[in-house]
Amino acid sequence: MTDGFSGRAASPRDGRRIRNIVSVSFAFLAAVLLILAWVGKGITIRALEDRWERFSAERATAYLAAAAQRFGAEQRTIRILAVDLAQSAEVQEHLSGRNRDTIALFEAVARLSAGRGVGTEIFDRTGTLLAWEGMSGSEESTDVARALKGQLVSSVHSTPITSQLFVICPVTTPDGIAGAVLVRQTIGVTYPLSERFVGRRDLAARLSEELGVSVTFRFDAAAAPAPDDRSVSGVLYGIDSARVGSVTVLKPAQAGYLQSIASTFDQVTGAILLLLLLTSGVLAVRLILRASLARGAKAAGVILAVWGVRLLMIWAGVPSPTLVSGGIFDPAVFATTFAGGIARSAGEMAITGIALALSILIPGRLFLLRRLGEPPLRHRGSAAGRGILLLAAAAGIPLLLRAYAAVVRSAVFDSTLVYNDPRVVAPSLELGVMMLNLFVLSAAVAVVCAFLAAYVLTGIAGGSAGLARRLAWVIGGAALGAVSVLYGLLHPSPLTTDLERLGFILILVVWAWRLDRRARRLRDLVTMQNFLITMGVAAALLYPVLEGFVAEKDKDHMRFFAADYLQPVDGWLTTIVDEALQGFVDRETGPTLLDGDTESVERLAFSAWAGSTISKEGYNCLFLVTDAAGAPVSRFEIGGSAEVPRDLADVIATDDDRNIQVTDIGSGQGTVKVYSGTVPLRAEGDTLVGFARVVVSAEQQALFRGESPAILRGSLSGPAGSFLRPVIASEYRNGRLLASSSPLWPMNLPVPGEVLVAFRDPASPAVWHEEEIDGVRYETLYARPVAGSPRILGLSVPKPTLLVRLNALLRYLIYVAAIAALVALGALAVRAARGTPYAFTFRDRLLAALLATALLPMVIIALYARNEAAGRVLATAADRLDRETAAIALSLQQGAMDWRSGALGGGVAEMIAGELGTDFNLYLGNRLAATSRPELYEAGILDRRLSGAAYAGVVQQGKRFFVQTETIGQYTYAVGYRPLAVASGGVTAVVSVPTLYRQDAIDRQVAEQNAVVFGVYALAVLGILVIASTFANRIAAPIQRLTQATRRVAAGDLDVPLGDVRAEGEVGELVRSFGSMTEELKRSRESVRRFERQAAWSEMARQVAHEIKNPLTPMKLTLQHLRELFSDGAPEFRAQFEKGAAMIIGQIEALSRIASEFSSYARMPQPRLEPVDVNAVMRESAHLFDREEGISFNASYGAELPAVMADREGLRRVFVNIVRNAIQAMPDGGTVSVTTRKSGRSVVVTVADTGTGIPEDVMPRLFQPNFSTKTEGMGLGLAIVKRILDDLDGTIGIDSEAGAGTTVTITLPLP
Amino acid sequence: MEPECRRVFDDVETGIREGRPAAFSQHFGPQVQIHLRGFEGGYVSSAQAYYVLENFFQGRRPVGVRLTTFGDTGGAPYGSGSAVFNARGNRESAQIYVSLTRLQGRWTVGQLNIR
Repeated sequence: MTDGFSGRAASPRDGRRIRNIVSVSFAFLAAVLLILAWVGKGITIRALEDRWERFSAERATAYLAAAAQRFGAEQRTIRILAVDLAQSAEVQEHLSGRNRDTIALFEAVARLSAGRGVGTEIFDRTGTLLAWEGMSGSEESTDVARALKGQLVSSVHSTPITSQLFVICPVTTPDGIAGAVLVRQTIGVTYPLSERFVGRRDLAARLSEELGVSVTFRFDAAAAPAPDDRSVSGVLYGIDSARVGSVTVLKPAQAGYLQSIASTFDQVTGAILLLLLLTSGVLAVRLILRASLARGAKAAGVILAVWGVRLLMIWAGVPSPTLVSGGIFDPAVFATTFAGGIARSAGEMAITGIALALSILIPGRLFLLRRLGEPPLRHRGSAAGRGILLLAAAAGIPLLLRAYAAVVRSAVFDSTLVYNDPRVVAPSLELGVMMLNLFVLSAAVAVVCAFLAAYVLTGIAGGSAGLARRLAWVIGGAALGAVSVLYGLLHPSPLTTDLERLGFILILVVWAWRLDRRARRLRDLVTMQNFLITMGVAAALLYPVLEGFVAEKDKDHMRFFAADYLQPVDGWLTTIVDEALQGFVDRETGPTLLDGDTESVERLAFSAWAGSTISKEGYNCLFLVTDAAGAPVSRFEIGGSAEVPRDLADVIATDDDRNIQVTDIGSGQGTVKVYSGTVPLRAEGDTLVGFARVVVSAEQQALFRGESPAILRGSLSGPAGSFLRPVIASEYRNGRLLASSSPLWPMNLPVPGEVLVAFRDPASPAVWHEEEIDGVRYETLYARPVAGSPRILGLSVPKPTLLVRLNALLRYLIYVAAIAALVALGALAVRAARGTPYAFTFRDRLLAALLATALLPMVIIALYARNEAAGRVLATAADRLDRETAAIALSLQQGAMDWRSGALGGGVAEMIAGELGTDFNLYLGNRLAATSRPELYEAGILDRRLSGAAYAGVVQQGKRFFVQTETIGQYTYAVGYRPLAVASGGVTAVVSVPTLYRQDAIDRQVAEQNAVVFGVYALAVLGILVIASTFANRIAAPIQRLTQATRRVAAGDLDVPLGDVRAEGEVGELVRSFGSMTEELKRSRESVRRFERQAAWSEMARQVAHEIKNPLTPMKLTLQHLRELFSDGAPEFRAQFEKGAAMIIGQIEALSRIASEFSSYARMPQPRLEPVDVNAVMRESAHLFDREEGISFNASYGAELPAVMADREGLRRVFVNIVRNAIQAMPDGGTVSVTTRKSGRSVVVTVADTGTGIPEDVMPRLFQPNFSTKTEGMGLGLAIVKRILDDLDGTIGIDSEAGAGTTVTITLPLP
Repeated sequence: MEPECRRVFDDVETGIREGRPAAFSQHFGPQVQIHLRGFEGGYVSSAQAYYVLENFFQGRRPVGVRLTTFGDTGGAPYGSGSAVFNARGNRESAQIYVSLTRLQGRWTVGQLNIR
């Protein structure tokens, strides 16, 4: 920046100019890119439209190649594993006969294929299966035989449910081919199971997602379909170059492809637009701050710029949901329609928070800088005006609290986040961002309310002191409390309780009292202590409000849940039955029924169920396919009891059209409503080939949704799944318990009398009641569909225990600590970036060392304890499995069923499982013979072969009980195995009990154990924090006091009291020595001062006498001369008189000036500190001399120079003095160069001349009073300058070279 | 069926046809059970439902929407029908189910399924 003086480039200005050029260039570049993106989008889409046919064929061919390549890569991966296994030492030794330990072989196979998601089998040279691990599949005896002839075999085997890719590798030993290794992997799943269970095994689905185009594989001998208008196909080859199938890729549809191209351009445009908006915003704010505007105008401009950018972001839809979809920008996590979308997601709310902070902090800084040295609260105006303001401020607190509570309520009610999940230790990103949003908001509200409270209370206290002041504060605090209670009474929905408001006001009053006592200046507010207090108050404000709303939402949720289940579901169930029937038609069930192989026909019912909403929602149901004569050919049933299916079958036997029927089955209390429908299945030519029938049981779904295992659901969601605590649903009829989802609830349990009394009121649809069942306290919502209904639904959740509440509080405190640490780290980073890094004190380091020493072993112990606790839960589960397998084994052995022949039907197994209350599987040899959960095996996701490890453990090693965890996709569960029959040849049958259906409960138990461990250790950590902080304070306090004392001594203050410092040992000795040293220094300084005063007075007297004497002599001579002329009557007397009088007057004026200078030096006025613009003062000072002949000025004033706290007149005097000295040092003319700049936390001013320079011997005496190299003046100028700068905590330095010039450097500290 | 219910169903049908949740979001209850294709579903607030639907329609342009079946069993009106969307160029068929709940004297959308 240049002004009226001729400018020359200075480096700080260059830096700013470069930054501006970069910013403008960046904005320009972004704007150009934006236009290019828009133009590019149009051109690209137009070009693609013009040559679409050719382009789509090329793309499809490229996709086809990519799909074939990926299939090849999958094969290679499996082949590498197969070869590794074939070459492993254990397999080689076993197959060559050197080691016949089968258990070791099982272990080796398990180890080598662990975590690969594959099935592995080892065959000997005769093709006999020796060991296995993981999933089984179809018998591949022909392919194994080929491998045993030395051929590497690769193929795919498909069933109606899955497709498996397998590679068989011959095992070659020195004696020749000794066996084969088969590795198989599922690459296709034809029904929509949750990815949690199948992982991402479907290759076609994965490729379709990655390529954005439909990819299908066909693994059969048929030739690849010929290309047509819609698709291209290619042949797939195995590793052995044999044909294994074909792949078909749909050509991209023009509209869809162009839409995706446009979407990609839109994403790029959105990203550029975002950058452009942000850059423009930063530039606009900088320009506004630099402009010559009033503070108010600047503040308004900044606010407009910030919110302009924010609103433009919302208008332009950036960050775009397609650019940053999901996560913190997902409205399903949090969204509110408030203010046109400024908080339509957690991420948007955070961005709005940043905009809000900027539009408060930047203008706030503009205004507050002026008042940094003033008391933070000052009351002006008339008493009446002040009274009104105080009243408004008092009312402002409850109003602000309500607005705040409304936001917190929205954060709870407009979100699906679980704020109080005791199982969660580290919050998710979404929860973390929302907590940060809420916490920052709480801190802002706390600060504003504290200022309001302080304003009100200091206003009430006025100028009183002592007891009167305390009393005024107490009365004022009570008045604030009364206003808040009154507000609660007057407002219909204050959103906070009286207790919450009163508690908060109490905290505010204490905080305001502290601020009033300690903060003398505004800058005193910006301290670490106040930061920590703000954090604490914000936490205290947020916790009860948040907890209150979470509890309210939980109860609300329960009411919705109850209403959902109580409302008639005819419409919904009719719809989903109809949809399932349509599914049969859409899947071309008729043609399959006519032409399909046996396996495909058998799977028809399951496939239709798997694709239906019924499976997603987990309804108990029956899917049935019959031939045209009504004979069942495919059946899938889930969740029904033995009686219901029989009744359902009776119902459906009469249906032969698409109409849905609603029928009551059973009678009295056991009545079950079922929804059934039938659709005819037709093949080509409209030939009737059979019927498909669907039956859904409504009552069963309502209470026992859990009967449909999560593993078989396409969706894991469900109303009950949304609850944090396990919900127990119970149904009462005529005042007695009819059914419950918990076995702990006794049958015929009566509805509590209070509930029945409450239900006498027809307007009361639901009642909350607390009760204790089996030693656990529950909160139960009793609800009924209509008044007078004999049917009552009870939804019970365990009441949170004290431990759970404590855990929640501790977890919350940990979040607060993490957020505070985050903010502190941010502040440290900002300081480091600004070149003023935070200097860690001795106390900080000591505290860090103590915490590290205490916490490190604690974390290790906590992790160990956590594992132990989880282990204990799992051990308990294993014990239970042990008992259950024993009970099943006993039941089978003592029963009359013929299980040894494998004739135990699914129905019998289900009956036994029902009696014993646990599911089980029965294996004969290593094959599944019976199961109480046939649907899991129908689905093909559970293996019909006994696990390899279980076979090795139970059959090979003869263990009486074996437990292991098994995995399906990402779902892990425990399975217990027990031998059932032991013949002379070994174990022939094994019974297993999986925890599949109750694994969620076990996982929950493990998580709760972890939460308890976390709670205990979090408490310990808090204790350590308090103890470590106390010790660090105590140990560091004497050192801190000593450091402060040293600083004061260095500044010349020797009156440092250290008598109250309590310290022992070396530190105590140091304190005492320091005290002695300062005493000695005081004595020495006093002697020096006395001597200096004496010398100064002598020198001053000498100087005064000398200066006064000088004019007196010419005055005396002139007067003597005039007297002689007068006596002589000389004619020239008159002329001489005039001349002499003028001379005398001049000398008297000189005497007067001398007196003034001494007076100025002796009586320097008290400085009046205020924010001063250094540039402005320097400009004014320099302009006084701009008419000096032969002198040219060269000025470079720093842009955006912050104001310094100084006495404006004093500073002007300093600058005038220095500039005048510079000019006087150049009698023959020259250049005075003036620069101002910001350097760290200071403003630096330099004044350089091209004069004669200052001799080296003179330099040390420059700032002494009465020293001067000039012929006139008292030599007090620089002494005065030094004194003014000392008062401002500033410095002055002089650098001079004889003959070259002098540079004076002045440093002024920033506030 | 009450005229008020019919009006709600009409608004829902129009809103889905135009891909504009604002056309029927005023009928949402405080909590809506919402299930959409590609969205796991569950209870969300009316504000969330609005933005979730807005995002849903950004990825799917409605081609044809019709509520064909209406019922009013036990005081719980519902409507169901079908819709066809253009999802990145691919045609997607979906079934629609809307049920209403009486809340504070007016009929509100309690459940909305599009999948």
